[in-house]
Amino acid sequence: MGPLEGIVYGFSVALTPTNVFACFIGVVVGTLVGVLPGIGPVGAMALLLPSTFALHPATALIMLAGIYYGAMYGGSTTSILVNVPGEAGSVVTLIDGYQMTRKGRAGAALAIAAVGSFVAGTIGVVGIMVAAAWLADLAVRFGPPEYFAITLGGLVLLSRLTGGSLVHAFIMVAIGLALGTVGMDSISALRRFTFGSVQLSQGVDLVPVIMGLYGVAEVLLLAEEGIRRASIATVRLREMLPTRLEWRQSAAPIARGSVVGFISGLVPGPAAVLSTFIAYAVEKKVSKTPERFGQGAVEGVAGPEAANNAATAGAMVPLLSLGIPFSPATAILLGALVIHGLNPGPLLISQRPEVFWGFIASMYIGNLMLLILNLPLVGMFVSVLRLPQHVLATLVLLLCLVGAYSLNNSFLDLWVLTIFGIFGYALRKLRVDPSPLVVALVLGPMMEKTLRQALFLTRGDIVELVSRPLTAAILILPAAALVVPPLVRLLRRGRSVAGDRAHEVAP
Amino acid sequence: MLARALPLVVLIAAGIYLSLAIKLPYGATARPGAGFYPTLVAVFACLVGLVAAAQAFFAPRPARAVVAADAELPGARRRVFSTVGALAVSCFVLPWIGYVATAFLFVTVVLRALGSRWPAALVIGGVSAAVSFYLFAVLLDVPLPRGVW
Amino acid sequence: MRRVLLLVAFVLASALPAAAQYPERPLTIVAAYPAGGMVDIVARPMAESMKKKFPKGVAVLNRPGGGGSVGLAEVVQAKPDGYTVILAPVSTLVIHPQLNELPYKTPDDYEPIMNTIAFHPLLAVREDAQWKTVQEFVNAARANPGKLRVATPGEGTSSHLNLEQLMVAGKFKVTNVPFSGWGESSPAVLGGHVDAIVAQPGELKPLVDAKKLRTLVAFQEKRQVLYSDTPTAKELGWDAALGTWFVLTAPKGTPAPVVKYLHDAAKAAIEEPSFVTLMKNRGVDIVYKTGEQSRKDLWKEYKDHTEILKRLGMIKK
Repeated sequence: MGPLEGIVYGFSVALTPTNVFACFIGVVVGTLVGVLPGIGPVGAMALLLPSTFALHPATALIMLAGIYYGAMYGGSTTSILVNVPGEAGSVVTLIDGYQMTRKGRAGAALAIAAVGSFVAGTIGVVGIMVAAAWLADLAVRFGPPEYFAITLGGLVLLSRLTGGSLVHAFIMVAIGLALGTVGMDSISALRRFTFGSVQLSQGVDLVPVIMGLYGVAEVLLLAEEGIRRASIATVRLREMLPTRLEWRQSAAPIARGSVVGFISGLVPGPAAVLSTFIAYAVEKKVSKTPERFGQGAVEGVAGPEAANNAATAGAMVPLLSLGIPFSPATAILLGALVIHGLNPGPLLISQRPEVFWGFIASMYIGNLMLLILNLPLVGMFVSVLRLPQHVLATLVLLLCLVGAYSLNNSFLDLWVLTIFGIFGYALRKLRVDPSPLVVALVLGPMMEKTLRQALFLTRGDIVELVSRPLTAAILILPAAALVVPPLVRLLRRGRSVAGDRAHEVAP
Repeated sequence: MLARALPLVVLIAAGIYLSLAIKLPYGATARPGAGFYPTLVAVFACLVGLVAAAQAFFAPRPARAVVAADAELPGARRRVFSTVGALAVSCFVLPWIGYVATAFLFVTVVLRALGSRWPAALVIGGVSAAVSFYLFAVLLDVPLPRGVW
Repeated sequence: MRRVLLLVAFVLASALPAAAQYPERPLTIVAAYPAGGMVDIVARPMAESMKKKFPKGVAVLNRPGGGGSVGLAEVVQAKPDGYTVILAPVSTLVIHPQLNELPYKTPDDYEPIMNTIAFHPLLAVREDAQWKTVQEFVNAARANPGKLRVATPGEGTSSHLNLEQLMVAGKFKVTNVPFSGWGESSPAVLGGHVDAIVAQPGELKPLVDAKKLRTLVAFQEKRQVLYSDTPTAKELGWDAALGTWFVLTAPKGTPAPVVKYLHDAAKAAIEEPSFVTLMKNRGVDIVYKTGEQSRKDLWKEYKDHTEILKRLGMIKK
């Protein structure tokens, strides 16, 4: 069965009333957990897994996957409206999304995010359909040394995402890397930096950290002001839609974000998070007006929001064509299939075509449903901003609290939330940008694992490690990024010492 | 003042981290153990701390006034402390009194601290506790803490 | 009003004396690994069929972290009232307490209810690899000590320990490359970054069926049903057959009648035909053992592991 025949057959499966309904339930739950901060697709899929036991495997997969990609639609909502990243995949969105809200463009940001997600989701499904097998073979060409190079390079490039002082950025990176080593070492099962606490051996989860650093910190800043009327006076319907200029500015970022996201999805580990950072960096690089970033640039919402959706599609590639889960979310999908008596692998497509093609077809349907579902919701979400500011702030805090707990059913995560809330507040006061910390916390654990695996592989031969052709190619980029700017600065220094210093210190 | 103290804090923290990291099994370059990478991170952190300290002490002028100079609103500090306090207390009591009671108390107390009147704080506290419980525990099946009773 | 009602109902429901008849509250089975993993795959269908004996419901609570030790530590410290139990693999029960300081040390610090399932890893290479049999692989390894690289899902896992056992028994040396789980180790072998992999039967199956991987040897006493052509290490005269088994475990001090009730419910669950089929397709054996027997076997495993771990230098002193 070729892709065309396959997808026609797939639609005949996905369009049965049961499967359409399952898809609908999935995307509704996905949107809900996406909007709620904390609890994410992984938790929601695990919680709803038992209710799929009685269903056909294809139906179960359609519903659970709906939760997964549906969450990426909703995830941006709280980022944009109240500066609380709903999922790890929407941290970057808040940088410009929240600024847009403060300028009264919340509706536009949400609408662009929804449309961007739809376009990216659809492009992603096409990608899976036509190139899954080929891409999966490509993905396994990358071994630990290449992944190490990617993480190291990513860390160097992405830690300078929002500009600011280099020393401050590196301090944040150091903190993020150190935090990433807390808990059980995933290779040798030894505990590190836990100070005897069993709870701490689960490690410091990314989600409560970002909810604290951004969300709680923002609420504390609002608390300074005390009682206030609505954050935004009135939002007229016309103002909620993106302007023609905003559409034009978003078109290319959505396209680029889709491609970047889909490719990042093929990288094991925190693909969705990573893809958004990369997409943001790309947009800032190609923009003719990079100074608008951080001030409410619509490209900074469109690119990352497209990327995280395309990344969920990309992450399906190794799952569907090899049966290998690259991320916790796809691991649950795999587990669900296994519980349903399937053993997905390269033969899934020929042995159970109804599951494979039905699932792919359902992703088209699901993405369409999400678009139809999310655009009217924009109005509803924006009206949340009409709440008095102190009430909104308090409710956000409550949602952070319950959301952080529901991640791992852990009280430790609540403490992490609180501590990083205070820390984030202090950073805001010191005008230090916390995003390098987030990047380091995302990449650190992966960097450690891949470095150690790479050294095991090459038996400690660092020369062999960096001279693998792919590794070398990947490493040249960040090395250049690291060396060239200071070199340029050094050359310039001859001319104006004072001016340069001021440039370096200003946050 | 703070600008100079900060690098010192970073240095001390990096030093503590290093002293803990070197106690972990380092392994060898060919067989890196659990302490291998933390040691690298610790060295990086110490270097960053040193550079920060050097920059803070030898810069021609202290790196600008670091703390935001905006005029502080009256009572701002009290409101921030109460909010943080309520958050921390909630973390403490949640395992004991369960989710619904914690949520109710938390929202009520924070709203009061931010300036709401009692009736409004109580009503919003009650409604938000119930709605969030329904959303998470009933709709999404999250096993929220029930408390010791 | 709704909140008040809810609160009243809530307080009433939870304030009732906890005597009466045993399962009058929902049972929580802690799965100390992330959702989607093997523990989860076993725990969820079990919970589903145990609901027959627990009318108030059975919930699976994923409490990952620390190789399962976070979840087990919480369970051993929980109230021994029979409403909180854990499905834990043998590594969580006996290996982790030897590597780390934990609130439980030995199999005497918790109450094994019964053993549920067991499975044994296999050694596999890429289908196009030059070694067609395990003897060829071992000979190649002997010719170049330490040159061949074998991926395992982590240090101290049964896969890793089997590989170490095989090296001692077969008198050869390969380099172990520890990953953290199948999701990471399998791309490495498919991409040719390592020469071989030790993994679970169910994980390998789809890739073996698709002629991407080939199994060389099984670390099991008898031939694995799914891989009847693959010899066991025992057949070849090498003593390496460590398995992973999952023990349903309660906190120490859980009353004997409650343990019996749990045991009976769990035993019925693993004997359910759908469960048996599910496990069989996954290359997993249903291995029923009483709590008493499980404890004995855990003690044996505990001591066996002490030796291996000491030899590998993973235990200090």
